[in-house]
Amino acid sequence: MLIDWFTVVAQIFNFLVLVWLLKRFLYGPITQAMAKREALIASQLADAQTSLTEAAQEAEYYRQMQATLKAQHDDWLDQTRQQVEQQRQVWLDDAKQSVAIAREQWLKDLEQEHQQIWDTIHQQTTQQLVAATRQVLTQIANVDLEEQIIQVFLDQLHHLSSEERDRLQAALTHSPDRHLTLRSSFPLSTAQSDRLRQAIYDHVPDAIALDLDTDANLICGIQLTTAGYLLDWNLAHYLEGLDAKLTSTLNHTRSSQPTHETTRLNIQSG
Amino acid sequence: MNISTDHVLIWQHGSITLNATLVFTWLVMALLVGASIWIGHHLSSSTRISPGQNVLEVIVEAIASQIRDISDQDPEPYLPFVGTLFIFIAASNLLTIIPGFLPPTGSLSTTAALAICVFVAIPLFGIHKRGIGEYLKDYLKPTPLLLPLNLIGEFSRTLALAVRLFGNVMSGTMIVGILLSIAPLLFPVIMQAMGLLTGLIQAYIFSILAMVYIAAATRIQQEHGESDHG
Repeated sequence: MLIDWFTVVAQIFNFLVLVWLLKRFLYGPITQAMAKREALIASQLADAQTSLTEAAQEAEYYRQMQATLKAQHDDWLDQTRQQVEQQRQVWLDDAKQSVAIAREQWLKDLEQEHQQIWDTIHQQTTQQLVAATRQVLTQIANVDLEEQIIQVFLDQLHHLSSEERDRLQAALTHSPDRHLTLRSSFPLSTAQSDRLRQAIYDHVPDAIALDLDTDANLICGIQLTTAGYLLDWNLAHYLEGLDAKLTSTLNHTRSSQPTHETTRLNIQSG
Repeated sequence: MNISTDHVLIWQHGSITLNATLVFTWLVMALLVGASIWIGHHLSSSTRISPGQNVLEVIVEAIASQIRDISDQDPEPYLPFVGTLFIFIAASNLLTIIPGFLPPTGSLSTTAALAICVFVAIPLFGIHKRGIGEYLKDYLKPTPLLLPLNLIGEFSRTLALAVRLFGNVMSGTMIVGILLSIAPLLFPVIMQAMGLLTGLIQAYIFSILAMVYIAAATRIQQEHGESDHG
């Protein structure tokens, strides 16, 4: 007989005891531990989810803050650029204006210096010319310069055309007291004065009064004036012609050879 | 050579006999309970657990998962019974690797006792779930004429459970014993390894079939309940 019924009963009892023991010491504790762990993991997952949500919110907050800061930074940068550009423009305008003023001042100084040089040249040339003429006339023709000037003036008065004479009469008519003025660049002697006075009265009989005067500004000559009329002989006319020729020649030379200074000024003003 | 370990007597007093089946059964029980108690004292509910606890949790969770898949119910009520069936049979069969160990499942008395437990547990679970009237009505379905066949089916499947397990384990032990006498060097080792695999498969088959029978007895109630609600 393969089945021992006592053993069968004993094994049934053993199996039931084993079921109870394993339920008590194995399944219960194991399932409880697993349930606790599951709850723990679920709690940790919930915490992680909460942390993740908070982190996402924080990230979104910082992202918005970063965007705001970037926008502010961009605005500030634009404003600064505009201010810098405005300031640069102001400084550039000031610099241009300063350069223009300096250039204008420099040109003015240059012109003034140029004029001074020409005046000096003119004065020295005149003096030299007068001195040379006087010396030439004295040594070669044995003639006094002032006397010769008076003689030339008298010849000029003597040979006035009828139109010129009419103009002199008309001007004398407009003068309040038919007054004539005779100016010379040199002092006249009494004989010279009488000779001139006599000649003027002979050619201009309507003249009532004649004033004789010395004027150093005439340089070298004699002039007769009344209201709106002038009759003169003056070495300055020749000098003015010489001035015009010299000026024209120098200007032509200067324009054909521009100086470095002018070039530099053109660059600065540009 | 003894076919059953029942015939290996350790102690006898009158009609009370203490055979190898009972002794090795107690040994397996002591081993299982001792290991459970020892690991149970070191259980941790944190995420860092010991390897022993990990193994036990894997086993328990695997059994619970199988019960859940088969019965489509909460495995909690069935876990101690079905789990103990699997663990006891598997432990008994695996311990045959130890020289001198005689598996209790190689005794028809043991397999019969386990089959009887299943035989009794099926109506108990069914009645507990559905009530005695509803459960007994199943024997009259689909027609009362099939009542004898239903009863025969109950007994026959219980007998099949017992004989299948006994036959497989006993035959494995017998084959190893025979091969030891014929070719003691290599073949017994191979057959021993095969025996381990067969033992685990038999433990799985026995516990799964038991769960299928129990689930069949309780699932009808569920379907009945669902049709009532529907």
